[in-house]
Amino acid sequence: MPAVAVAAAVLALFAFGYVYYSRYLATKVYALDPAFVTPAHELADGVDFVPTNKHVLFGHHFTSIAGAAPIVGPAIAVFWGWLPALLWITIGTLFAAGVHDFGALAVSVRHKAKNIGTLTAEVISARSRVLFLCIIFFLLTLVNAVFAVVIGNLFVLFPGAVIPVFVEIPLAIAIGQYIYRTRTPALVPSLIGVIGLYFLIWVGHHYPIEITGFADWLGMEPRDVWVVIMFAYTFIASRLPVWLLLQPRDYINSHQLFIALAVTFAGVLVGWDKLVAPAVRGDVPDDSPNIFPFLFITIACGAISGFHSLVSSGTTSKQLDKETDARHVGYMGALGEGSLALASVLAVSAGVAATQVEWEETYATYADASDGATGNFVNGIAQFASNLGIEFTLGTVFAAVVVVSFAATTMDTGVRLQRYIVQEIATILGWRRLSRSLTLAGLAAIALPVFLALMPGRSDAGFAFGTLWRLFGTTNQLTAGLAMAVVAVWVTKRMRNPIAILIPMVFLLVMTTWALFVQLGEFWESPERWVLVPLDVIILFLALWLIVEAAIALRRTVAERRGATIGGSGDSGSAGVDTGSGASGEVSGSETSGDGTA
Amino acid sequence: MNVDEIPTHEARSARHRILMIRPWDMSDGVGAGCCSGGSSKGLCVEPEHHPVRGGTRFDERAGWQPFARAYVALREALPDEADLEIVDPRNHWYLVPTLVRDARRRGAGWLAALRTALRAPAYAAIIVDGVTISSGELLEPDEAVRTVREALQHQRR
Repeated sequence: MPAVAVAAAVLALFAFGYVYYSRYLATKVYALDPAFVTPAHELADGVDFVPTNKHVLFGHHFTSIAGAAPIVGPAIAVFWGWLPALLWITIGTLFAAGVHDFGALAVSVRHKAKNIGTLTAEVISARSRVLFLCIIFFLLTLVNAVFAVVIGNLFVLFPGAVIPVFVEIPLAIAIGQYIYRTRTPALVPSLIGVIGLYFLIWVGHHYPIEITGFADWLGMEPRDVWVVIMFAYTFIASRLPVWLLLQPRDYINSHQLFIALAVTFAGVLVGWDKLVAPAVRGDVPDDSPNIFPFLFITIACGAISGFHSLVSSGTTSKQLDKETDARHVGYMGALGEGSLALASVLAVSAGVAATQVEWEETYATYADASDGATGNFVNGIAQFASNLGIEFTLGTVFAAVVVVSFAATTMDTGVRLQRYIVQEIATILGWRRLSRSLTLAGLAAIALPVFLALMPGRSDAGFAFGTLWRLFGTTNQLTAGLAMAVVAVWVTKRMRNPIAILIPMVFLLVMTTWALFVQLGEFWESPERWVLVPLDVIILFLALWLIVEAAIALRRTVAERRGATIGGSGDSGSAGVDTGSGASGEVSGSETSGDGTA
Repeated sequence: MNVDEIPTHEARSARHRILMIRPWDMSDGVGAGCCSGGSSKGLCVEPEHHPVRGGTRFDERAGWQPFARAYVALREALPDEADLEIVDPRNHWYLVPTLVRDARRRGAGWLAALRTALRAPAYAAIIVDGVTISSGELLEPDEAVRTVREALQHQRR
């Protein structure tokens, strides 16, 4: 089947979902009110709270959530065939990610734009904020560990990417400083930066940097040396002001994102590549993980990502001009992320091999699929680029630079945010020295990810992506589960039907818990992975805790709702309850009413 | 101003568009990344970490106040028919077409409109209907209001 037909079908479904399902969510579930005074207006301060045009806000929101994660998961998951991966991406995006991202934004806007962590404490229970912080701590830990390995692998596989990625750092600083000091507009310098980066890709292609000799001298694997270098770099980078390095580099990368998407879809269109991967693979090796539940945690970002709730409720909700804009920004953002995952599936199903036999050799085992995921994506994109006349090996450097740049930005921000989390936890625990010292908090932020990325058994086939990636997926899905529990309780309190949230939430929590139990058995039996047993147990405990908290909160809310209905004040879908005047318990105390008062 | 009186973008006429370009070193967020992007504002669980008007939870944002004061002053002083927007200088997907459209609407040729779009979004620029009325410095609130009012009156003539 031509890849372009699959792309067209999925994009058409996304459009259908936006037009019809997001409208259903907006009107029937979240009951958005165009007259509602949003926190951006109520609290306008020109810093955090700024009413913003929905198109401007969508740009800010999407560039905050787009990254490398929706590339890696699908590149592994096509191991079970392209159809299950694509179905989960499509259904997940439409009915889980869209509901989640949109819902987190809607609930935050009705609560003075508080973030999902604070709302967890208010809506679920006070102790749930600790649960939230713990889940995010492990999510960021695994993100940082996995992406360090992603970068290390890509530098070893595609040494041509080393020069562009590392020279991009001073290049970005120079451009940032130039714009900052001369106070000139950013577009032309940034375009020069992108051109400079592509020149560096050409240089890197001709002068690849391999560190085998240096690694031998250190007695380490080359990949491990890159992992150490990346953590040292991110530790330093996370201490710098964001505008000095992170934002200029992120800015250049945002151009790269659109160029990479354009190359992918244009290459697919011009080359008319066919999907050579089997639609559903019936001959997976016996020792492979089962598609249930592992497909649904292997592809987290791209089908649903809990982290988006932090962006929705942390930043975007403070800038929403009209409540009804939440549909455009939140749901559309999820569709954008799904499009990235779609590009990944196309690259590893149509671009990476010429025939099904060749593809099956590439994806022979789950370990091959997981270890080769990013490399396969890079080769697939290079194939699409070659359809446009770009030399294949040069295309591999181009694609590797795109993935490494995204992964490095993810690590930069991940280490920085982990430092905040460490400080937040230290504040709660009363550990003042840790909460106030950037160095100590920074070291604490990278200690566990460094250990996970370099732990014994790291070189085993399928470790980084077959094992760490799945743990990362579970924590991301738990974050989504927690956010959806908050949204479900809020929707129930407003006398609306929460089924659109409950179904994906229950599905995710079942898959996550199931996967954690299966993995626990695997780790227990593996002599080199037993150190992951405590990590799996902690995450499993967090999952069970979350399920209990969500169940209690929902039960309590349903009881309150019944009481309100019997008492005569609970007209289904009534405006009275919507504006926080009904028997809405904890929520009503903080929910902003329609006239902008609490 | 009572919150009931605040017009939404839809309620305002598109006749006048005022863009405030957020200074380069005051950009929100910590960068992109599917599982780490956005801003630290999504992570805090302490109620006092939701500052409103002048709260300085994070040191680097204390320097934002002059720009914020000018925005708040403009917002409170502006006539209803003006649409006030803070835009990040990196947001070219919005800025370029918007500035070209505004410049074209006031009669500029395509080349001149494109030149405006490339040159206008400088540091702390205030752009009224595609015309840059201040750039390169942070205006005091009163000065910002006076300058914008003059520009709006000039546009009406």
